[in-house]
Amino acid sequence: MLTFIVRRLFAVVGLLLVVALVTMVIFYEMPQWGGQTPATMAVQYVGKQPSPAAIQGVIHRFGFDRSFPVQYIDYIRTIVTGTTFSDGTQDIACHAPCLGYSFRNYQQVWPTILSDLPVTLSIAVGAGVLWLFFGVASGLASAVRKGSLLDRASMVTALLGISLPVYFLAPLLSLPLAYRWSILPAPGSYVGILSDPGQWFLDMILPWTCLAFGLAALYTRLTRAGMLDVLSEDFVRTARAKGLSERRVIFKHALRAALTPIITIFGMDFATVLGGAVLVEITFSMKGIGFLAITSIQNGDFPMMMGVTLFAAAFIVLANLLVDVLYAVADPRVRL
Amino acid sequence: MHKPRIAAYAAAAALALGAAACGGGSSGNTGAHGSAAYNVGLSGIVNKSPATGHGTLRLEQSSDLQSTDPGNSYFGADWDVMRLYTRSLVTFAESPGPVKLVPDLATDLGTMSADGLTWTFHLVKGATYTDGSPITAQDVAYGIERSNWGQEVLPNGPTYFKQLLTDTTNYQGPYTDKNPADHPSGIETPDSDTIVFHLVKPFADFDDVLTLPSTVPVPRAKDTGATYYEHVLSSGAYTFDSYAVGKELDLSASPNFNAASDPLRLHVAHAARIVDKVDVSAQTVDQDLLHGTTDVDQSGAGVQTATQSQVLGNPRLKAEADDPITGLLTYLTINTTIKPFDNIDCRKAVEWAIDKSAVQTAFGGGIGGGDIATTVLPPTVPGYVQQDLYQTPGHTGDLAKAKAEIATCKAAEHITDITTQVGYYIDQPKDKPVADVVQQNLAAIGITATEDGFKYSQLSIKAGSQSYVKQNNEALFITAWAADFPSGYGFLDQILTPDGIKPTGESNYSELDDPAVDSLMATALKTTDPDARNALYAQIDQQALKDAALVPMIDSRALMLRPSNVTNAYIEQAYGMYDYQALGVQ
Repeated sequence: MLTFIVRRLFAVVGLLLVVALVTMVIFYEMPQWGGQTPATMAVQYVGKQPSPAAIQGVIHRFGFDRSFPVQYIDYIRTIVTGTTFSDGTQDIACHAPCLGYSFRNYQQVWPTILSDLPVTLSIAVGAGVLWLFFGVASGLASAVRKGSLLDRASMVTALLGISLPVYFLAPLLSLPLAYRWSILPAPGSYVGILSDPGQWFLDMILPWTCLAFGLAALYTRLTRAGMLDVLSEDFVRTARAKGLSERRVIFKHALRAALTPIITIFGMDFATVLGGAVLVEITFSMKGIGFLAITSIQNGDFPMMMGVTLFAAAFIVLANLLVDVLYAVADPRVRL
Repeated sequence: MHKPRIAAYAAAAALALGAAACGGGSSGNTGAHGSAAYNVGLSGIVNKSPATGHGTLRLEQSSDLQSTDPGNSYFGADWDVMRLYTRSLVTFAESPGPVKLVPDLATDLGTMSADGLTWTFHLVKGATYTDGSPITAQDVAYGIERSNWGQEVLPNGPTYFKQLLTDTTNYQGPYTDKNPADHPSGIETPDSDTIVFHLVKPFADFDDVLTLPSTVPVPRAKDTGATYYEHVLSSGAYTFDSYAVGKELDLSASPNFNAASDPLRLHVAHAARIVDKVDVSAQTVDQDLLHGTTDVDQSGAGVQTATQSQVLGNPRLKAEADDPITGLLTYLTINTTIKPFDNIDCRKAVEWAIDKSAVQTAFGGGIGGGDIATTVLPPTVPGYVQQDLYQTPGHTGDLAKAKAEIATCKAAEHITDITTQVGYYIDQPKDKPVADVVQQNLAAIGITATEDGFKYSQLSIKAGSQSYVKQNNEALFITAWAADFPSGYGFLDQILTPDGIKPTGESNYSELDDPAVDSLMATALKTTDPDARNALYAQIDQQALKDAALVPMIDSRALMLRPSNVTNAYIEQAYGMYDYQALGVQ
């Protein structure tokens, strides 16, 4: 088991190195294939009347004057060993894991990401609970009462949920609930859970609902299909033949079997949301990881873009690892 | 120079020409009660209230500030906000209507020497920072030095002082040259209350330059350079509590503001707190304005197109809206050095050919775009005089005159075909339709103009680069311009004189170098009488159009909301948006 995990960890590191490489190619190298030069990429950092010396300074600061392999190796080395940046007036120590320094905001990338993480975490945890619970519950109900009115209603709702994008659902819900009747806070309102838990909960209801609706719909369909498969399996028939109560058959035997693939997918979906629930964060003006990603792309903030991408990738890769390990525990054949 | 262009292009609604005049029905009644009506904020103060330290004023905007550091921003909306927590030497009078300069940290508008080269200012007595420490002339000088000479650390602000002041020692700025005894020779501070400026040439608009946040005092000991924006030491009526990039700016009424140092009562904290939320989605900003969950759109960009029809269609909402001219001109530049447009007849052909009425429609119409412009100066800039050198019925252009001019030009240049390129910004959604109109209008008189769209961030290597436009035969460019400070010089100099001709980072895209314009400008800068000076600016305006160096097209308007709970709301013409330091809440 230990060898399996170690082997997997090596794969994780390798994967992240590749992600860093690809991201760096996209943001640093590809613009230059499209006709940009280091000077044109630097020019947006130097104000209205740029002097050649200022442009050269920015080019050097971003490392555009070094060859690409050297830039890449420097970037990776910096993550591990840390480094020191100068903002022109003072030196700033950037300790490992040093993901760089944003010369747009004069802030370090890693602390910025950490300070935005609670917002994304708030969205992900609450929405995750909602979509898993409602998705599985309605999928289960549909499967057990296949063909009933409940089944059809929940399938129509699921179709609706999959078809309604967040940026449509959000105004649809916030217009009556937040603006007209003022039951819930308007989009854009957010307080940390530690400063005011009650207000935090109220602020999060709309984002949770909007994000969870679409995913719950997906999980409803998955659960229903899985349950229908399992319910026709031999061991379910055996369980029924043994004279177990229907409740026991469904919850103890069938659901457990049907749930396994769902948990796998949930792990991945949850990690994706943690890496930035971009649409929800933008629609509700919540300053999480996804919002940070978008603004840094708009601002041409290279170090921030790199940092966020790596961070999000790390979440997904680690979630994948976790799922693999859990699988290995459940099914020894995987370890081979 | 460039205000954030998003602001200018934002949805605007207009009653075509002269909407500004419709507002103050009660002839400039500034003390009106319940006077909320459409466009009243252009000429009067809406919901006037003397209350101080009351409630929380909530601002929101869909973008972020460029910087909260007074030395590191070029955004007009930022400057408007900075007046809440800073004082500059000179500022704008707190009143609607035409721009008026008044002293702020200075006791008066300065004493100019007979040769016009030396300006002396004294600081008001008793002015302090929010921590109670006194504001000195040395701090004002330091603020100017760091923002103008320290561009390697603070790259974003204007650098007029570096261009205007003498600098015999070739000062390297406080971040490179850390010796506190070193200064540019153009700034002297004989004592803590006096600051003397030595200019390289007479400059009668110098007071206008002093309104820039460059003159906000910064104590050298408190300056942390690039990160000073995180904890600006407030000199205004509000304390700078905190600012988180991409999140919000928090201000609160300063307990230490010495009202005696502010005889004109320019800095009164009407609210107890001010919260400015940034990076809020544009739709949310509008919804919040409509439903009373925010008080002002801080960007001054006006509401979105969808919200605009909602506002104009609802009498209650319309009464809470103003539709000011933003001071931003959208125009077509004609490069006077690229063949065959170095021939004035070819340029005049373009002036006659452009159908400005069609351009206005393409730009979003009278409602949603702005007014048809016939002068370089917008109506809100001092020196503006209504004139139209290329007058045509309905502003639709005159094909016959255009064709006659183009025939003369072709004969003189011995050419049969004219091809060129017209540049425009692809990230400004209204510019492409305008480029289409220009292309069609020119095709009608036999000029083949290929469109060359590029992103605003690429300006300095596209239309802003002399070698690019010459190599690519790009004589035409659709762009927009606003003044850094509301004076004829502030608007005209960089776009019509050799000051704006540079190999890269050009702003005089016409590359107009007309001795008549240059000598008028030089005379204006020596003319101390404001009326006489403004008359000269109007002449420069007309001369540039006689030279057919550019085609003024649209003076932008933006539809802005001032919810009924907001007090003391009026449009400050210098910024083309509400005057934030006057605002309070009920």
